[in-house]
Order: sequence, then C-alpha cells, then structure tokens
Amino acid sequence: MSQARGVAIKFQNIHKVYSTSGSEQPLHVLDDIALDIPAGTFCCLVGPSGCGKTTLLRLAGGLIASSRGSALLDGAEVTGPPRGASMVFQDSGLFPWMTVRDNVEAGIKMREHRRLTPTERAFSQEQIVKVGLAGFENFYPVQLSGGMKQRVGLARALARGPQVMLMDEPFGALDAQTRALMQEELQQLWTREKITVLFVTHDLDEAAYLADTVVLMSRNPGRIKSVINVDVERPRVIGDPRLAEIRRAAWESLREELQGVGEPA
Amino acid sequence: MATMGASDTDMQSQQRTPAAAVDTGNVLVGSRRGATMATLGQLALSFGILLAVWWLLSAGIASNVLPHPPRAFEAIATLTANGELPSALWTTIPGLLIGLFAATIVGAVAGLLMGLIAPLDRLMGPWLYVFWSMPIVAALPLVVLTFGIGVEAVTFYVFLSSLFPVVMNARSGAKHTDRRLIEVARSMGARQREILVHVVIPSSLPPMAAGFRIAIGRAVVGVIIAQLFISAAGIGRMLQFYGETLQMELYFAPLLTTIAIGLILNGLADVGEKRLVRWQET
Repeated sequence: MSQARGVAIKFQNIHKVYSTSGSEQPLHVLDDIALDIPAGTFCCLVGPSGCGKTTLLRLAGGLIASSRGSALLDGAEVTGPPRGASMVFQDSGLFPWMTVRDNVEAGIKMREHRRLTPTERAFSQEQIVKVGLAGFENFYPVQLSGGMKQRVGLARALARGPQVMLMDEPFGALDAQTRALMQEELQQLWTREKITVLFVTHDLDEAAYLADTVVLMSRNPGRIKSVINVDVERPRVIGDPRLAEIRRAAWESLREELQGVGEPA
Repeated sequence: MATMGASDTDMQSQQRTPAAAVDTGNVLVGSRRGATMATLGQLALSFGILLAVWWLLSAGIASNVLPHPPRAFEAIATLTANGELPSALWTTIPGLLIGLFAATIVGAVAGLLMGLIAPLDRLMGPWLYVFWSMPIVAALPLVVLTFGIGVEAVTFYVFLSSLFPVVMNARSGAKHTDRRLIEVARSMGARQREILVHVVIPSSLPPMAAGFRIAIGRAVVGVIIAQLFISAAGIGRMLQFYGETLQMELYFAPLLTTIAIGLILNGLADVGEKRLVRWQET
C-alpha cells in the first residue's frame, strides 16, 4: 500500500498539444496543469466537455504522452501503463468473449504476461464477491446489466491490487437509480480500501458526494480553474445540505466558464 | 470481507440472482430441446414438400428429366454396393477438405495481417478486389499448366475458390476490432502479442466464421468444377458421364451426394461456430 502522507499522483506542469492537419491552429488541450493528489484520497476532475479531463486521466494511465511536463505515480515518472494503476472505463471496457472471471483475471494476466498463481486467482475471486457478483463468474458480459458490467470493471481494477485507480466517468452511462447505488457502494468500498482515486465526471453531485477534492477545469485551453475541498465526514448521505453547498459553489464556478466561452458545435 | 449489496435494484430488475440464473438455465435447456424438435419438424416438412414436388414432376411433365425418387435412391445403393460412389468420394473428399482447410488457415493469417498492418493492406488490398472480381474458373488453364491434371490441381483449385472470402472477412474483422478494447488491454500492460491473441483474434472470429461459411460453398463448387474440367475423376466425372449418357437415376446419385457434402460441412460449421462465439448469444 502507498505511504501514509505521500503524494500518489503528481502532475508537473503538463502541456498537451494536438497538432491538427491543414491550416488550423494546433489544439491546446492541456495548458500547464500542476496538481498533487495525496495518497489515499479521492479526487474528482470536473469540467465541460473538451476541457481535457479525460486526457489528463489517460496521461496518468500511461496511454498517451504529454507534450511537455510529466506525470508521476508514487514518485516514478509515467512512461507507459504503470503496474500500480488500474483504469475503469465508462463503457466498462469488458472483453465480450471472456466470462466475468476471465475478465477480472485479465487485468493481472496481461500485466504479468503469464497464468495466474493460485493466490492471485483467489484474490480475483474475492474481488468478484466484494462487488456482489458471486455466482456470476461464468456469465458473459452480454448477459449482464449495465450496472453489473461496471461492477465487473471495478472488480477487475481491484484485482490488480492497485495503489491508484483511474476512473473515467464509470457511471456516466447508467440510469439515475443505478448510478446513485453504485456511488454509494463505491464510497463504502473506497472507505475500506483507501486506494487513491482519480475520478473523471461531469456530474457535480457525483463529484461532491465522492470526492475529498473537486478539481474544476476550464477549456480552450484546458486549465485548472479551482480546487474545492469537501470536508464532510464519511459515510456521506446523498442529499446532505453541505454537499449541496459544495455543488452550488462548483456550479457557480463552472457556469462562468460555460457562459464565458459559449458552446461550440 | 463485507460485500457490496447483492440485492440491489439493477440486479432485481434483471432477475439475475444466481438462483434465478440456474432456473433460467433449466428453462433454457427445456426450451432448447423443444426448439430442436420444432426445428426438426420444420426440416422434415420442408424436405417432405421438396421430395413431393420432385415425385410429382418425375411422374408428370418432367418424366424424361427427373428420375422417379425411389429409383434414384436405389441407384445410390447400387453405386455404393459396386464401389463406384465410395471410390469417387475417396477421390473427391481429401482434395476438398485439404483445399478448404489450407484456404482457411492461409486466408485467416493473411487477412488478419492485412487488417493489422496498414502499409501491407494498402499494398495488398487492391489485389483482393482483383481476385474477388475474377471468376476463379477463368484461372483453370493456369492451374492445369502449373499443377497438371491430378489431385494436386483439384486441391489447389479448391484452395483458390475458397480463399478470398476468408481473407476478406478476417481482414475486416481485424480492422474493425474495437479500439477501446485494445486500449483497455494496453492500460493493463498487455504486449502486442497478447493484444493479438486476447483481443484482435477473438473479436475477429464472428466475421471469420461467416467467411468460412461462404468458403464451404465455394469449395464444394470448386471441387466439382475442377473434376469436371481438369481431372475427370471423382464425383465430377460421375456427374458428367451419367449426365451425358442420360442415365438420370445414376446421375442423381452423385448430385445428391454433392448436396449432402455441402449440408454436412455447413452443419459442422454451425456446431463449431456456436462453440467459438458462444459469448455473442443474447
């Protein structure tokens, strides 16, 4: 597990520029992003579409490289997908041809480039139980509901025993009730596991409910606009007035942003 | 270790607790058996009508073309007993299967490579359309010049006939592999080889199976054409000889045999496909 008070994820003056073809201006997706995420905390990245929040997450996950600056995970510069990180994707990212069990074990198998040890298999099974999918080990993704697929994605991420979880709008495609439920369960799970989480969302309620810190981003170019600390003890309750206050403050900040720039097509 | 709530709304709405799943399983088995019976019934009806039409035609207006069905089946028995049909099959089946098998392997590998390696695809993609547009039968003289008139020529002609559907579909399968899933595998630290084996190939299996199905049809046509025009042997030779000498009962024996070969290969493909792409069932 990660050190008590250390910085788990560090973004050091990150720039990301996409050069577009033709006469268009290069696209400045991230502009001088500097951010420290302490170990064991839950950080939500929020912002309008096109603000680069997913790009930042993919940088931390080693899926893309920055144009300038670097991302550090537990002090080590990210040059490729880090062993200690697990990603959770919006569309669950399950392999349709693998059963629930094979999907969960794939996260270890593809990192270690070998079969699983009995210990690893047992640990994977524990994660399946933990997300409430005991009995579904041999089901294929097509047989599962959206919420269940996200549980599998979560179990797959946990099975890697990660120091850091990078979650890209994992509940974005779920219906409102399932989403609320998954948020509650993620909070419970996180309270026990104390993994560092970087969580991208555009849902302000979700961010206020889950996060220790809400990082608000602006776009064109993508910058950190403000950071809001959520000092509400857990377990939190959906609808807590203090969370509503956080949400309101965040919305004030974001609204300026949306009005200021306008909505490009 | 505490668990996340197991009886949450999304599960209840799906009726997918394990117990329910077991029940559903039983119901499925039952209904599958029922479905199989229904399918067999429909098949019997379908073939029954076909046979009846044949029978009526052979008794009526087409009596000089179509043999009386019982006599056609008698002819099959006769030709089997005197060894002519088994020996023709023995000449035909190996070339058919080897050609089809080789086309499947070569086609799958070539197609996957083309789908994965863009420069290769740009180079070889246009060739595919050339060969796809060319009637393979037009290549017969070239096949004869290269391989002679023996079983090698027949086998190669079968290979050529069935190759391109497999290449086309494997290529398209590899090309259309979900990029998000490749990225998921990359995020886990997968190497290129693992991405190929665990992502690209499984995701290409359904289109490859469809290509294989087309290949079966073409292989059967191919082996008959090759035997008719190249080697004058096997089932093709029987068709030609009994057709030209107007012995229609005897002519129908190789014809029905050819149909049976196609049906059996398709049936096997059905079984194989169901096992390979189980995960697609809804």
